[in-house]
Amino acid sequence: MSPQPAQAGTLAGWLLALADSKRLLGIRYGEWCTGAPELEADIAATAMAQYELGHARILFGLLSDFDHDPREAERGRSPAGYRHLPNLDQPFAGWTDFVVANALVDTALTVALESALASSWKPLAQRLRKAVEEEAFHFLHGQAWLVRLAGQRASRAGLAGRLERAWPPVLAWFGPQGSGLSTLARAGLLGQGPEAMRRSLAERLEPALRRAGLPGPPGQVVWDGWSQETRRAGPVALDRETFRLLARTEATEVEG
Amino acid sequence: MPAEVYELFARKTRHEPLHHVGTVTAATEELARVYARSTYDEERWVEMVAVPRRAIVPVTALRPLIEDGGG
Repeated sequence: MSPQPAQAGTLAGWLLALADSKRLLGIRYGEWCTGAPELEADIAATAMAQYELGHARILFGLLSDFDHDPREAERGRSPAGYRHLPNLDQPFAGWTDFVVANALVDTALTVALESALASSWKPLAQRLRKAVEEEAFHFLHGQAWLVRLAGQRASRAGLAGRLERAWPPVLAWFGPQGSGLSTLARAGLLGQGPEAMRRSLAERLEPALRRAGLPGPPGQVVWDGWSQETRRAGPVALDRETFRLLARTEATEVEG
Repeated sequence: MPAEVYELFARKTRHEPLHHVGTVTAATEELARVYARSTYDEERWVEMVAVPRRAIVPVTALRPLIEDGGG
C-alpha cells in the first residue's frame, strides 16, 4: 500500500534522515580504513564503510518514489539541510568514538531499518531486507570492541564517558512519542513508533553493556530545543571538510 | 588479553570439505569471528570456522628449509 499524501512527507523526511545517517556513518567508518588499533580492525572498518554507503544509496533511491531527485538530495543541499544523527557531525576523535558509534549509532539505525521491514509499503520492506542482514556483523564488531575496551583500565573511563554523552542525541533522534514516526507506525508504514524503537535499542545493547559494566540509556529523553525538522536540539554542526566531500561532484567531463 | 592467531577454514558448498582460507589475529573469539567475516568475504561461504593456532596438534612437523649449522 502506497503512503497516503498526509504521510508521504513524513516518510520521505524519515528516509532522508536514515540515508544521511548511513552515508555519514559510512564516511566516518571509512576515515578509519587505516589507523585502527590492529590490521584486522582496519579491514573491518573498511568493509562496514562500504556496507553503510551501499545502504545509503538504497535509501536515497527510495526517495525517487516521492518525487525527490536522489541526486539533488545527495549533493545539492547546504550543511544545514542534512538530517543525520548529531553523533556523526564531526570525525571520530579516536578509536573509542568509533566503537561507541559502531555499537550505539549503527544499532540505532538497524532498529530503524528493522521497523521499516514491517512496512505495508512493499518497496521499503523489500529493498531493506538485505541491509538488515548485513548489519549483523557490524553489531558483533561493536559489541566485541565495547567489551574489550571496557576491560582495559586505560580506556574504560573514557569509554564510559563517551557512551554517556552519546545516548541522549540518539534517543532524541527518533522523536517524541506521538510525533512523526508514531503517525507512520499507526498508518502501518513502520513496524514501530519512536518509543518502541528506543526500547528495542536499549534491549539490544543491554547484554553487552551489562557484561562490560557500562552505562545504559538515561531514564528520560531531553526535549529542550528539539526540532522536528532537524531531529535534534541545536543547529546541524557538520564539519566543513566532510560537507565539502559530500557535496563534491567531479567536474571533469567523461567522454562516451 | 593478548592477541592470538586463528586459522580459518571454509567451504562454499555442503558437498566439499573445509579448506584453509587464511588467518586472522584477534584478542577474543568474538573479534576473530568478526574479522574472519570482514577479511575473507570474497565468497558466500556456507560454513567457516576459526581454530586457535595453539589448539593445533602437530603430527608431522615442518622442517626448516635451511637447517641450523647445516652448511
